[in-house]
Amino acid sequence: MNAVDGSSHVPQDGLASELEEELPSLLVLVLDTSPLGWGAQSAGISLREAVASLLIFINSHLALNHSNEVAVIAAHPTCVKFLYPVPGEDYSTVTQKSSAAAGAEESLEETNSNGQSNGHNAVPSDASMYRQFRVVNESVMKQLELLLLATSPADIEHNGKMSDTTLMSGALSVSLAYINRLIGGVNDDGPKVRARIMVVSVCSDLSSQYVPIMNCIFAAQKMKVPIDICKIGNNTGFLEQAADTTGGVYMHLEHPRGMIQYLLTAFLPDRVLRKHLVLPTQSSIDFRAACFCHNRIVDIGYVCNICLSIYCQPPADGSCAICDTIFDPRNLADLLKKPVVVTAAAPKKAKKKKKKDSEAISSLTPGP
Amino acid sequence: MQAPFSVPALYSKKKGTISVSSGRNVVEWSPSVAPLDAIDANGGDPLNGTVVVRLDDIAGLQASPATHAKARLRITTTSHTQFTFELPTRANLEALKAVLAAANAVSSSSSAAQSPSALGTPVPATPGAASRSGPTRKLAIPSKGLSDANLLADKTLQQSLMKSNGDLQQQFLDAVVQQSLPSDQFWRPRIPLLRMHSLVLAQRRGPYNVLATVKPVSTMQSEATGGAAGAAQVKVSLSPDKVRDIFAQYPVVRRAYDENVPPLVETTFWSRFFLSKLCRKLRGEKIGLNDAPDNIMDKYLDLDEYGTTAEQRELENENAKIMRFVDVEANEMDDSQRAGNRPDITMRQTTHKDTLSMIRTMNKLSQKIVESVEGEAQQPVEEQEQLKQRELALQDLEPARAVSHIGLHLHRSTDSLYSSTAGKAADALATQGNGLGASKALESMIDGLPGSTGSMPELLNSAVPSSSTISHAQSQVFDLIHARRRTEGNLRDGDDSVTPAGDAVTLRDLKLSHTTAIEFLHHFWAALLSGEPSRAVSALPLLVGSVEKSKVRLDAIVDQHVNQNAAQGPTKLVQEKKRVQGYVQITLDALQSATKTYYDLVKEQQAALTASTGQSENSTDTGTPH
Repeated sequence: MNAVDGSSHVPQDGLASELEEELPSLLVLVLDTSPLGWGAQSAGISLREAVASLLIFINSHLALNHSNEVAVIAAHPTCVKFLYPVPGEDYSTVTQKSSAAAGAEESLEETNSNGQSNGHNAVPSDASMYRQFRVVNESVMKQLELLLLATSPADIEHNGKMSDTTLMSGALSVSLAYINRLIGGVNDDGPKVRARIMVVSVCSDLSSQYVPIMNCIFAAQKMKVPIDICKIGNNTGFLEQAADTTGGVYMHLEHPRGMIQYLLTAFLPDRVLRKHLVLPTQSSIDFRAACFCHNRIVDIGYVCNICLSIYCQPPADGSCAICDTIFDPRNLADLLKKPVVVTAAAPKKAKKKKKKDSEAISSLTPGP
Repeated sequence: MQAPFSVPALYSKKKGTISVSSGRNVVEWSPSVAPLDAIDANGGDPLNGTVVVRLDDIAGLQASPATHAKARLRITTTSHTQFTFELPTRANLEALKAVLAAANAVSSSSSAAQSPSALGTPVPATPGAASRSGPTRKLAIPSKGLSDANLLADKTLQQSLMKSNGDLQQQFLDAVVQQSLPSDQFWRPRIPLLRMHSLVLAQRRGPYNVLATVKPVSTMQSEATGGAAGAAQVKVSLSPDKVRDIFAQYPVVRRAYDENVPPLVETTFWSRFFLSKLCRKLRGEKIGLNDAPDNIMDKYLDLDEYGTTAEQRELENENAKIMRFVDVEANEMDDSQRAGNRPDITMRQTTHKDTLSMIRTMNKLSQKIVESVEGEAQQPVEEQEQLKQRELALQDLEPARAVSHIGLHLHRSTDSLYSSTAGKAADALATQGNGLGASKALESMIDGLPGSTGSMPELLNSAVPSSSTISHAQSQVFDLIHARRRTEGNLRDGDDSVTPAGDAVTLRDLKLSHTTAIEFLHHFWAALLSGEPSRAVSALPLLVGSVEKSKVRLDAIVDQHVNQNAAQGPTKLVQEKKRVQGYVQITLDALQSATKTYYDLVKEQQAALTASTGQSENSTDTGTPH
């Protein structure tokens, strides 16, 4: 009977991996553009150099395979924006134009029209660059500049201080949705591309976004999308968990100026190659979570047993804020009991107590 | 069915008769004279004063002692009502008791199976139970009950669990036997394990097709023993259980057995049966012409497995024959467009009868086996009828019903949890970058970026730093790779090439002490944080002692290892000690923190206690002069 069943259409192990190796790879780069983060990099790397390194990295990724694709997303404190490919712009109709001579007016128009497409893009001086690289590079630079120009200082200030968080969760969600669209759903033919996400992060504190980031991490895990983290500056709480859970590389740059070196050695290999490599990812991971009520990082806390949401102390009104389960008040009271190691129940003390009580009572009764 | 048993008896001072029904499931007392008043307070039938007690409801029987003048029988039901009957003679009482006890014993085995099922799973009434001929199986609920108290008290269960799980046994030996953890406390957190184990033990194998499992093992007689070449002996192992199952599943065999065995020896019967065509037919194999004819067995070939001939079947089915015009099932299948004009393979006249009978036999057997599995998978007849009715009913002509959607209400209070306006976070991180105003930061960022018309090659060149930076970066990456290779290599390949061979024994001992230490830590923290003074007094000091002992044990093992390698110089010894201690450093830290917490708390609370007693003493001192 076994020979007759039609399970031969399911690829065996060897066959599947061969197929996988032929698939093109999609790299989604999430760039953290928090001004506080980049502005505070006194000894580190400036935004300009970082973007340059990233462009080289992207170009090398594209060079590895003719059909490799890339997308760049900026995570800004106020918004999440696609730096490449920009929605609405048609990259296939970029036409060559001779450089500065004829281009002066049009290039001015281009830069003033805020990136709205009219089918032509101004061409800078070097026509010798590979077209795909040039398109990506220019788009990223232009969009980034527009984004920063459009941000007013008021947007990023909170109570007179600069806000340090960026919309990392939003950027991750957008990139996962983009990947999902490009993969084309799961069908019998299998996915059309293999995707991975790479995050360049400079900000420090993401504890207010614990829940959305964890959701994105689990979604990426389900989709088998590794999330690589390139960390400059302080260590952020939950990105280590992201890399660990999804099988990505977490690298904290001790020498930010050498970013290009890190990118090209640690982050360039794509998913298929990684199976055969020892990944240079950090092994000690901070698994602490943030509590759901105050967004504080906790390492010992309370967990609702229905929805698994984390609290730093038992909820005051006796019910879970997420799933509305009402907890048994006795159990809550038990949790709040303080540890008791010494009691006053020793015999001689009891006698004393009794004496005290009786004396107290006698003192209340009208004396003789 | 036994004869109904009746005996005269007095109930509430009224004359009457106790009778036990022939089905032995009802005890009834009916008065000999109809009472004048119709109300009977004790739950008897108000119309004619009978008292009916179902045998299933009887929870207890009590009889007055033999020396008592009157012979009284008290029946207590599960609803805690008591009926007291007075019997004229003691002999009557004894007889009644005997009858009730016998009836009880018979029904207790079945009721014991039924009552847990009534408590556990809602068993739908199965009128098909009477037709069940598969072997009856007890429900898989252990007899001793699954409550926590029972599980903790059941030593045999615990022992069998430990036998099946070697690690658990190790832990038990270490913690309870050697370190004197009370066994109650050992098992208390492991109650889920005990429960699972008792359920696993109580499982029984369901009914299955017995004939398929009886495989004749053929052994060729070796030539050395002189048997002629090719004289094969066939061994079949039959246990009484299997015989019973065969009889239950194939009544034909039973009939053949009943009719033939007194003249035939049983072993001969079975050997002939397994070699006969009958056996092959029942198994579903085709009967070739090569099989030896067996004059006894072949008589039954024509009968179906129930032992009825084709004619008998026709007679039975005659009444059930449906006119072809209205036979829905047959007409559904009889669609000429589905598979051409030729009837289905089961409907052809040219199909070999054996093929059909094979198919039918297998189907019927499977159906029977499924039906005989007690419990959840069965649909009662009413439900099946309802399903059929629903399928047959014409629904197209019903007026269209408005679809009522279930409204989902969004719980907006959680929005605050997900807000990423970094109001809270910013406060935490206000120190950094405060000197740099926001606009300045923005400016600095933008300055760096060239315009889109800027020079790309220059920009890209600026990314390349000095070679020293590059080499630093490179070395960091490679360090990480090396570190990762060391740890991951062990995990993946499983061969411990990195740990030195001499550590093996030490590691084993350390592992054992580690698990025990963790066990004690669990109990310690549970007792400490429970906040109950009773536990604090009774259990806590012991646990603290055990925790400290664990620490001492771990240190002892480390020292022992170091002493074994005492040949090397003192500095190396220190290094070695540090290295081996590194294996259990975390455990040692945990033990340390536990003891520290405990002693700090003791100090704190004792200080508070003496302070409060000191105060109250002062107050009473001032009170006494009264």
